[in-house]
Amino acid sequence: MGFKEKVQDKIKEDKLRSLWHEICESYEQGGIAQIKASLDSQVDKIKKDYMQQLEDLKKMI
Amino acid sequence: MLKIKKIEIEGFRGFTQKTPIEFENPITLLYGGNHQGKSSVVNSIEWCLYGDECIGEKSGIRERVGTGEMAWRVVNDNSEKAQVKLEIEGESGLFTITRAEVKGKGKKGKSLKVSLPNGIEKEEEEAEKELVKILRVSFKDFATTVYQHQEAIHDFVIQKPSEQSDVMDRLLGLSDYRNILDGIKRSDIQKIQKEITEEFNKFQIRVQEAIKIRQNDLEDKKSKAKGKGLDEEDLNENKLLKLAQSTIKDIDNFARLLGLKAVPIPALSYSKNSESFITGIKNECNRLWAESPDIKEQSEKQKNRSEIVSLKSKFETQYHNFKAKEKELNDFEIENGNKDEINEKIRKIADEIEAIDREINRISPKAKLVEEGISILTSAAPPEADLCPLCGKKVPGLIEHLQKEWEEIIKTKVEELNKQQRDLNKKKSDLERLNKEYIRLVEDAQREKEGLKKAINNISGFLRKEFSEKDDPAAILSVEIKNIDLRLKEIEDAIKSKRATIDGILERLDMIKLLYEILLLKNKLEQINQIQSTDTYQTQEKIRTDVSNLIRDVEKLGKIIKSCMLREAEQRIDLTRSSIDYYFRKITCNSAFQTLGIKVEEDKKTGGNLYIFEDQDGKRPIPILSQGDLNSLALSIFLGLAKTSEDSHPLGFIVMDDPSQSLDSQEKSRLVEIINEIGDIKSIIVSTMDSELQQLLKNGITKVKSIYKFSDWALTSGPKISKET
Repeated sequence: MGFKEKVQDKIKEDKLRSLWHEICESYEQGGIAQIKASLDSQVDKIKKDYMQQLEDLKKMI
Repeated sequence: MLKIKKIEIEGFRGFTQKTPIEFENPITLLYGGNHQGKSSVVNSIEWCLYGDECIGEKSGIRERVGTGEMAWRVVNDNSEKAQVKLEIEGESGLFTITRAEVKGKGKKGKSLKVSLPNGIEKEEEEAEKELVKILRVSFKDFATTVYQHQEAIHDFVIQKPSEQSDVMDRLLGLSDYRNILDGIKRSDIQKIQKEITEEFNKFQIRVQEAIKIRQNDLEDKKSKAKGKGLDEEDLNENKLLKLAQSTIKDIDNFARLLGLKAVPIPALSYSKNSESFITGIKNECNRLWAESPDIKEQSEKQKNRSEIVSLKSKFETQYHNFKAKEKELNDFEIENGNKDEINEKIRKIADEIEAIDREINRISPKAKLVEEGISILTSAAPPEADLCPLCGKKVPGLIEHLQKEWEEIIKTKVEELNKQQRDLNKKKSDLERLNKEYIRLVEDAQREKEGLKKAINNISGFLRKEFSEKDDPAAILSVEIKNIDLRLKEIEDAIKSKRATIDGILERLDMIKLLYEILLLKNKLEQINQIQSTDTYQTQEKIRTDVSNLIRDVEKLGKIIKSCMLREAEQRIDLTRSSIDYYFRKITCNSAFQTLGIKVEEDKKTGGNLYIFEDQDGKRPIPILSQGDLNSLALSIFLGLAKTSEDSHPLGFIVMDDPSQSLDSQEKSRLVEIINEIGDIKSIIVSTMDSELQQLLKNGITKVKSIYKFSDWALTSGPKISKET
């Protein structure tokens, strides 16, 4: 059993399993840098959406 | 167990020409100096079995990370294609694996062919699958239990004790866990969460400030509204609309009062901007005011009055100027006479001057004669000095007589006449000047008279009235002004009440504007206070929760990864502990170590693995270990893992690349003993540049062995390999 399966066996939440799957996929595609890039792109998108919401809120005040 | 029988290398890394090497004996020794192609041989085994898995970051081997010029290149720089053919023997027979890569062709240039003992040949994807089935060992396991890399030992020896856990993890084949944790750690999710939180905090402060500013503004406006008679209960939309309606009604009434018709004004709507209503009312007030008959008449009368005042002023000025000039002329005449009188005086003086001229002309010949006589007599010699120049008679004292005549009669007379003439000329000149002055005064008076006439004509024209000589235009104008003033006073009284109406409307308009602003402010404050219930606020809150959840999930995952890594490390240590202890003590032969214990636990600081080495007394030896000891430890871990898997491991060979770094002669000798022992269970390929180790292997290995010497490597031909027996 490889590291992927070993970690997966320990995960109980679906959400975490999906995150693990994404991380493993990134790792296989481009190693450490790809994991960073993948997580950063997720959170960058969230930040962009967040800043947009905040701008809309600022207009309300 | 699979054993390597033969390899054929062409165009791979240090090799250009096709080169076969046989591994028919339990021990194969590859030796030679640096950069002679030894490592290329052991690398080619790895590449042939695992292809791209052994290249790049995912290989877990640092020297193979890099791109472009720094990349670990498969194809030799002077070759177009790399090909490695490997023959391995298992229980079922001989497998032939052929892997090739054409330079610059990418995936298309890569190929794999596997020939099975039954003669079946598999290619590409099928071949890859078949190879996995044959090997049954992942690359990671291969890199820790089969192929001892130079780098693994090198890292372990040079790392700081605090960083050796990382190397230990990698020695134990836990690189994937390490890499993934590293990738997660490098991501910016924590940083971005911090930025998001900071932005949110700034926003909260901004909200509070906005509430404060608007509340102050509201209080200020409420206070003004109270001053205008609006109480708290009036501050509502109904009151606003009522005020607006009554204003429109007042405008209509006012227009009717003026006999005009009001222009329709858009009704005030609370939901829309109040500007159009306010501007509409203001414009209409201005229009009605301007078009009011009283205002028109007032404007006209004021204009007329201004014109009459101007005409009166011009007339008075002109009249004054004329009178001044007239007086000046009169005064002149009184003092100097009129034009005829002056001319008469001039004529008389001219006559007198003429008479004097005549007298001078009469005296002149005689005077000339006397003057010449005196001159002749004065220049004559004494006897002739008494002779008369005219008659030639002798006249005693003639010269004295002539001189007396000249001095006393002629000279005095001429001088007196000349003086009289000068005085008369001056008088004449003065009179001529007076005459000119008189002419100028007459012209000035005439000009002023013309001006006065023009001013009177202007007044006559403006008033449309003919004036007789008896009329006083100034008095007539004064009466006109008085009449206009009386009318203006009447108009002023009439428009005062109308102005009051307009002012009342405009004042109400201010009230409407103020009330509108108050209602807007109240509404805005309500909106801000309820901001938390808006969809946008809920969405941003959800996003912040999502980020926190993502971070929490990543942390949870990190913990799970670390726990799996710890468990796997524990398992591997448990399996290999005794072997590592045995090999370490055997290589180092250090009497201080009766046993070398290894345990792994969770590092409380990092959550990663913490490897603890202990001697028989429970003391930690790492800080006092020499580089040779550390190398021995790294080798012991590799050999321990290789030994432990002897039964279960499908690969019946191990590869050791430059294993003697930092070892002394004794330690090398004992390493050779161990290699000899392991030769009982696995075939071994050792690559070394160490001539001492080479000699020790040559002499110390009791098994049948093959020895290949690498030398004279050249760019185009690769290494020269000679086989010794």
